[in-house]
Amino acid sequence: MEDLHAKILEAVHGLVGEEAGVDVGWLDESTDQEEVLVQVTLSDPGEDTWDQDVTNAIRTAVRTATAEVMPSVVATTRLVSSGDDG
Amino acid sequence: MAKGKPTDPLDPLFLIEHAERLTTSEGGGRPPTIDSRRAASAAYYSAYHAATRGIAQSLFGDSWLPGVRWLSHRSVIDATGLVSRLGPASAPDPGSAPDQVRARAVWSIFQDAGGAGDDLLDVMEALRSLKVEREIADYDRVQPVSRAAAQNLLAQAKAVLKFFESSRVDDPDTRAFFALVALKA
Repeated sequence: MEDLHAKILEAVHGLVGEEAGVDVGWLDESTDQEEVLVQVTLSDPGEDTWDQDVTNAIRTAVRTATAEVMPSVVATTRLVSSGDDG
Repeated sequence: MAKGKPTDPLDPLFLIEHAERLTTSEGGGRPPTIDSRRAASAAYYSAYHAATRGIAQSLFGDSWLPGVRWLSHRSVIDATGLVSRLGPASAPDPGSAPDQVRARAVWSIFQDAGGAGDDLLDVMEALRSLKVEREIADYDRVQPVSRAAAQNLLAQAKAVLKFFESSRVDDPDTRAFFALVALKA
């Protein structure tokens, strides 16, 4: 899991800069396959939404990194704002 | 009631439009977080209904409205995982060990189709991601759900809807996803 975290962190930082945070953990759900939840923390978009091209690139990078490091695992990406205070 | 194409009272577009009104309401002060939570929840349901409508139309034709009830959240989500893991053209061969027979069958089907398209892979993940967000919005009283986050989820849901309303539903990779959902239902 540490290798996966490092790989995803490198990919995400390459896309959006080093301020982005990455957390990786097993998704606690009764599913018939191994699944990790990757939480990427991006800078607060305020009243806007994030650029969909950027968020899609992040998701693709997470998928690629996961397939490379843990090919039997499915990754699901969650994007959160660093200023998410509701 | 006039005969013709059945109308869908849970049309995913209606759900999205309703949710967008919740996240764009104007007025003084901070927007109520319950609006963002309801919008985040609706984002998942609109994506789920878009997927199941496409699947049911493929399976049951004009009788898709009653037929769609045979599908379940679990079957859709499990099938998205199979496509994500075994669908990409670059996915490694699971091998021929006895415990990999079913995985290899899925892998082979997608290999024959040239691999799952990137847009299908985006949709597969969006469905899982939106489900995670729905559970947070509906059950987690600790994690916040901002208006910006809800709007982002609605943008994701719209992309899912657009995919299932496109001609991509007729392509072999998407039809393989439909079949996997049906087999898991």
